Amino acid sequence: MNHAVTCVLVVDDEQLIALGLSIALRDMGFQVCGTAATAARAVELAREHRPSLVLMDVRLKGSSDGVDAALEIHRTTGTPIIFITGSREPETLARIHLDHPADILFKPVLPAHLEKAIARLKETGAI
Amino acid sequence: MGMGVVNGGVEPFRGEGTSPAERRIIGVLCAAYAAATLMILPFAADPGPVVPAVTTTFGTGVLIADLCTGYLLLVQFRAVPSLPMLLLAVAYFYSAAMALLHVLAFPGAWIPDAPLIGNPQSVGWLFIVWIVGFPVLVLAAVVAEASPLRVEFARRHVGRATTGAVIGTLMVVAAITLATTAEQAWLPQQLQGNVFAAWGNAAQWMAVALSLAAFVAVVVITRWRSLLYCWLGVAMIAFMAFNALAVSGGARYTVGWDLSRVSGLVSSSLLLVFFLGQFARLQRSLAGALLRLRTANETLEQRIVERTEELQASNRNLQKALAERNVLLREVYHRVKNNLQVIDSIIAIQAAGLGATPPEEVLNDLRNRVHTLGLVHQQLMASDDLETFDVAPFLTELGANLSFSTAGERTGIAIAVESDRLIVGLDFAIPLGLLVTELVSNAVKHAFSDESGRAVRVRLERRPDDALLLSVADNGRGHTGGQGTMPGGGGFGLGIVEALVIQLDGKMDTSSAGGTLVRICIPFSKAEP
Repeated sequence: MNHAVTCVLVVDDEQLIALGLSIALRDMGFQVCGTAATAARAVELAREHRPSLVLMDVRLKGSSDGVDAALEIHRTTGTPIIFITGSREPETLARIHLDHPADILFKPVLPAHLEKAIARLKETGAI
Repeated sequence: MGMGVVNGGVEPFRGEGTSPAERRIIGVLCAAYAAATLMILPFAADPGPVVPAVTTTFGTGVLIADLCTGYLLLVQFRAVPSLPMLLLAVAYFYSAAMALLHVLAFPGAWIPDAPLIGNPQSVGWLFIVWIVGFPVLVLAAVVAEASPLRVEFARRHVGRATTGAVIGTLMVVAAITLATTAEQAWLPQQLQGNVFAAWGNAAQWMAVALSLAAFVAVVVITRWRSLLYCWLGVAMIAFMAFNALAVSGGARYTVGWDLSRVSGLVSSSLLLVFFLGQFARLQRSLAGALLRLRTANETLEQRIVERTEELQASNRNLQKALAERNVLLREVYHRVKNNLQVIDSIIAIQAAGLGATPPEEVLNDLRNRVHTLGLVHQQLMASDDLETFDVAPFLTELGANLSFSTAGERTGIAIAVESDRLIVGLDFAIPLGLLVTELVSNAVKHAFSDESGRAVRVRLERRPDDALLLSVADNGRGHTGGQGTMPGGGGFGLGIVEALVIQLDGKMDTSSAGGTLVRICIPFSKAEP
């Protein structure tokens, strides 16, 4: 694959989902630099690994949510973020748009959806 | 006869029934009045006070009372248009007109020693025509009440009948006036001085007889059943006394003559007093009804206010409940989608670690996991608050399911479940249930080689140090391959079991003395709903 994607960070408080997404990414040829279940852990891993892409769930363990983590990551590393959420509610979407999401995917997400979203980002040169 | 019959409630006066007490009072009154009159009769001819104003007062009083009574009877007639009522009204109008003529023709009533109209003979003739005519008309009215004769007017004829009766009465009175006051050479002299001639006395006795006949007719025909006719009966007794006293007195200003004027006034006033009594009663009941109406109105308004407040409160509650329901529904949908993603992930993880596993075994494992998710939701649905449930029966049922859905039952492996009572929510029950599913499946598949006494024990206990301990033990060979579980995750070093342990913030250790024992220690706070 001719891309400059170094690694992808997966953030989801459901371990099985994080694992499933990781497998999907690996099958697409990406490296997964870690999975996080909390916003704090996500920010920490992003600082450490400087990923080229973050898959971000909105609902996370703890008091901060995925948008908090995304804003912080954006501020520190500028990494593009694809949100993955189970909710299509206006409140959630409005909250996601506080950040500048690279894309929004709605659960359940198939590997094909993920692949397409990443391909779009590559086309626009975001990653 | 139709007297006691209340005619659709439109007979406010005539239709008034009488109580036995009222009938008794009326009877006693009639008897007393007649007795008093009889007692006075022997002294009737004695000279009484000479009061010229008696006639003026008497005549004017009778005029007003009879006019009012006639008018009220006419009103009554318009309500219940029967012939008796019309005749009675005519009788009173006639009497009123004759009373007026009596005063006008009576010498000294208006101007000293001379009549205002006619000549000295006129007053005698007018008086006789009056006192005979009135009881005749009353008698006719009462007789007309008798059922075979009773006539009711059609509504549309009431106006014409009223006008006709009034005009007819006026014409008769006018004719009488002309006949008695103009040239009456053709009329015999019936006053000698201020005393009636013998046949004039006979005429007065005839008036007494007619009054008595009218009274008897009231008793026989109406049988005291109508209050109006009861009082008419008393009026007839008084009218009879009026004439009897006058004729017994013989001349003006005797005791009999003076008292006869009083009795005449009483006679004409009785029905008016009766009507006034009825008005007073109606007025009272009307005032009472208005008061009740106002109270009822206030109560009603109060109830409307209360009801409106209740409805508004209930509306607010409903809206709140609706909002809560929407929130809950969204939450449920969110969880459904999340669970679908979990299932998708499980399939992905399983696919990554496929190896040489037979496809039917892979699919069976998947179905067990999906079934475990379904079992959690079933517990939630059956719970009272729809949010939490006791984990013990859930694990028991899960164990039972696994015993025949895995190879357990087929191969004679007993799966025993033991659990402390613990109230948990969805977020804890799903990873716990999946963990038990994985560990039991793995034990059944990999732990045993020989055929005898094989058992898997699942146990969840709450330890004194506030940790939960999940243990899955088998009495198998303490197989190789790590633990009783198979790590998957294709290169991430993570399998479903490890992912679930992380999900629960748990710590897992494995020992293999006398079979395999997997122990997972979970902080109690994870289980709290």
